[in-house]
Amino acid sequence: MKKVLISTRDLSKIYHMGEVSVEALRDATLDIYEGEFVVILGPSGSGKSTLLNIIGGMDTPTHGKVFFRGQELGDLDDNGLTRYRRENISFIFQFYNLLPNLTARENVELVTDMSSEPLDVMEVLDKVGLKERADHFPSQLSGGEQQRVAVARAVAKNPEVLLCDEPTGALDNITGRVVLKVLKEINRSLGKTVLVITHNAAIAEMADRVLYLSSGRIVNIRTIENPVDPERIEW
Amino acid sequence: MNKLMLMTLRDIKSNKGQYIAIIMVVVVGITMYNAISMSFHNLNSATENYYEEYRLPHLFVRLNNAPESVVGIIGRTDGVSSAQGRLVLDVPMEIPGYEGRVQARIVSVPRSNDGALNKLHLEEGRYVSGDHRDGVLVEKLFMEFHRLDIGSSIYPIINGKSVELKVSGKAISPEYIYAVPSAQDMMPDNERFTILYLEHSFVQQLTGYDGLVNEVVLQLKDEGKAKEVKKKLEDRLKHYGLISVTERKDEVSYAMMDTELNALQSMGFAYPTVFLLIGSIVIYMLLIRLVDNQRRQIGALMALGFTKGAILFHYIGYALLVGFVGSVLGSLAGVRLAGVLTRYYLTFFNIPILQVKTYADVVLLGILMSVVFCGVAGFNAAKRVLRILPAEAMRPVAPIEGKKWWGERIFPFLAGLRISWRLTFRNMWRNKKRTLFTVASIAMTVGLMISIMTMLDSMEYLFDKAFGDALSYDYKVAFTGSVHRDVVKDLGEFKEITYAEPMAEYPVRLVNGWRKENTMVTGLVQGSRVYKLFDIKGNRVEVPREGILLTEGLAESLGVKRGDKITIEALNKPGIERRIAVKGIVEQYLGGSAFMEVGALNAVLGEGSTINAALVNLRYNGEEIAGDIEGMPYVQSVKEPDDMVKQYNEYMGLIYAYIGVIVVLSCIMGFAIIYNTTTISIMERRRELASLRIMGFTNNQVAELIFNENTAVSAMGLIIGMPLGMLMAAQILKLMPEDMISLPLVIFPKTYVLAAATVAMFVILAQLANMRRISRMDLVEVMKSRE
Repeated sequence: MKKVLISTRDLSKIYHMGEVSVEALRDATLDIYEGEFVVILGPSGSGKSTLLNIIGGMDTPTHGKVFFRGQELGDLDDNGLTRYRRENISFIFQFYNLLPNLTARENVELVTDMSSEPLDVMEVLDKVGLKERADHFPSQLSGGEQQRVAVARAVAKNPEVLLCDEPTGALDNITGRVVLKVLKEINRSLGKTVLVITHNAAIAEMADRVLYLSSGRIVNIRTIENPVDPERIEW
Repeated sequence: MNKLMLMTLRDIKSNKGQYIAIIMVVVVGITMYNAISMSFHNLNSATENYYEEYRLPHLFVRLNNAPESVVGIIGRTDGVSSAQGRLVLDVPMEIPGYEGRVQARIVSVPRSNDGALNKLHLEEGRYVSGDHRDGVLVEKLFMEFHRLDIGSSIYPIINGKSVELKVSGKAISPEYIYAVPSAQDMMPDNERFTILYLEHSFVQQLTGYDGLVNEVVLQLKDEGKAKEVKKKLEDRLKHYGLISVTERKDEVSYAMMDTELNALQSMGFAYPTVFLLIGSIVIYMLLIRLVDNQRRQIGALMALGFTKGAILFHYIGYALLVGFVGSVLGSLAGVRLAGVLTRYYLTFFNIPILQVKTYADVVLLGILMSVVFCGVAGFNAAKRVLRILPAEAMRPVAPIEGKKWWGERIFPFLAGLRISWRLTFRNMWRNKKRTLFTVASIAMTVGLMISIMTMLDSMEYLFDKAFGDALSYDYKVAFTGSVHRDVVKDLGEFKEITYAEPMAEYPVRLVNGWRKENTMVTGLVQGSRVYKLFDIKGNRVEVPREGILLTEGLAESLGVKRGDKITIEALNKPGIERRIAVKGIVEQYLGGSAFMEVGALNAVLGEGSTINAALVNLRYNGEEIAGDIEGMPYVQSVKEPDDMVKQYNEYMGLIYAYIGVIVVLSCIMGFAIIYNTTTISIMERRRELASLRIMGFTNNQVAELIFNENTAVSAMGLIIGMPLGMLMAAQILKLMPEDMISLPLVIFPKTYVLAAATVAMFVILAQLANMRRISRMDLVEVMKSRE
């Protein structure tokens, strides 16, 4: 029996931009299970990032609720949300957002220093294939390598969930595949729940489940029995 | 409105705090410049007009009582346009309701004030005339101090007799703008010294000097020929008992005013320049960030066809606007402050025709200076616009190159610091230029503060030194003239006096080659118990059997050192001139600056066994007997060392006012700088800080990064600012009127601590003021935007 990790109930998000209101998310109800690899697919503006940000405690819904292991996020104050992010969530962005002044290893240490049960920094870097380049600064690494440092940084603090917003968006397909492989590997070997946002349908094939979003609504949820190995994804 | 201009205004609006802070720095500099420059102009033109209109003499001839006919002789001398004889004598005086005596200087004036030299300005009452022979005009500030009115009686003691005089008017004279009895009394003492103006023949009658004068003042046809006329008079008057011929520039009041004005003038430029310099550094840093931030916008503008010149000017416009707005506000504030300062001066100087004016040229120069300073800073920051290619500009900025800095390689401990500190140092290194500028501007601010607060330290040190170790007498009793040494024994008859020792003070000129200094030599007994001298190292020094001791300042102005020989000339006895050896250098505190053994001094000046003062100690907890001593014959005044402190503090009031103004203004500036740096580093690193927040760093942890950096930069500024402050203080001390007092350069640790605490407070305040920027950061927005 799979345990529900995150559930959302009737999530809506309305952005007010001056006199115009944009409904970025409408009545999104969803359960995500422990250890799942979920891909959220949809064109830009379909509400993917909004959903991810609300799940990650970076944004609050206009209506509806989000639960993490039964705890409603709406009940947490700013500090509570910060603690929630620190302990349970890791983000990975399209732009890697590494601290340019810190080496790969130091970027990872930055988060392990503040988490209660961090993973070994060098082991994690080894896992993303960057053990040899641990002492390089971001500017000395390629885009794919930087993204893998970002993944290592996300994983090292030993969170429950990795939330990845277009992790391969800035990468070509070869380097992109390496990053996806690393994500899959982390999902499989460490049992971390991974949510990946993309508008690239090809990537969906590696997921356990795929969510389709359009104009702020979840229009379809598809379960994939035999996820494809990221190596074999082409785009 | 021009769209670029509109953009500028909106940008400024959305970053109000920062621009207000920068404008404040400019306002501060320009306020100071206007305030000081205008007080200078006010005072300068007031004194010049005053001297001119009230006919301040060009030369002062002092004689041992000479027949009045000498006035005619002087008047007929080539180059002299008018001469006026008078009697000037110092007498003790009693005032009803005031305990003790004051020193009154009787100056005889002609029957008519019109056309007189040293014409009097009557604030109140009427001039002395033949019909009102007992009418006396009294110096203004003294009257105000003692609340004397027209018709009040005063009792000068002339030839041992108390004479009642009725005050007929309140007057001031151009000769006593700065009312001190002699160059040795450094500060005006409105309580104990005054000038009485009485009709000439009346003074002759009162004093018994019928047909005699002891001073002749004169104006010249050509002021530039003062030296020649002086020489001529010196030759001609040899047989008339000539004491001295002095030019007006060597007269105390004139010289003091001159020094004061010079100090003002140099301050008027030095301080504002420092402020403007700092202001332009801050503007420079702000604009660099602005241009970098708006790269894409710049690219877009270029793509739209705006010329680089137009865009360049757009950015320089920010700086010009800051310079202009700041200087206009500063001018407004400066004009007001100038009024306050100028009026404050009036409490020290007697000038009747002081006008507080606004000088358009000063204002315009201030605005011009400010606009130029800011414009240059703006241009230097904005010129990077010229290097931008539109297509490139619209792409995101190349990632910042991360580097370990050499410090971590050389000092391994730096690499072992917590990550947040490692990050701090690397950031500082990455923004070397900005770090440098911030450190420099904080250092300058700290320097400014310390340099000015040092004045207080130096004075405190001086007082402590003087009263802690050196001067331990209770009263200094001054006699009306030279008296025999044995008079000291008479003092011993007061049962309250436990100890008395003789002392002598004579005005002399010390000469070494072309260098001359007029000063007072203090004659002390060997082994004095109440007036101790110390050398620079703090060891006690005795006055030598023969030879002279000089203070460091005096020795320096004369260019002599221990063992050199100098010439000493008695100023009260012309013709006496001796060579004398400098036997040592002593520390200066309040009081004299040249010391000899009293007997040796008398021998050199041909005074026999006379003294003119005594230093006494009273029985512990004894009664106040100053009044009784003053009642003795020959006693002119009794002063306590405290009086000196009081006088000092009063005069220092003027300096305190400046210190206050400068400290307050540097505080405003210090805060503005730190606030700006904080804001810039937060804005520049929004993305970085946001990613930390997303990773689960709390607001406080993120703030700590910024705080660390500010702390480190401020600490560096502080470290450099401290010695800088000392150097600046040394410069300021040089500006101080040096014959008044030579302040030792002393900085107490507490001043450093105070400076450090102030800076720390600013760092904390700036941090608090900026916390909102961190806590209100829209994480989603920041991460979405590609910078």
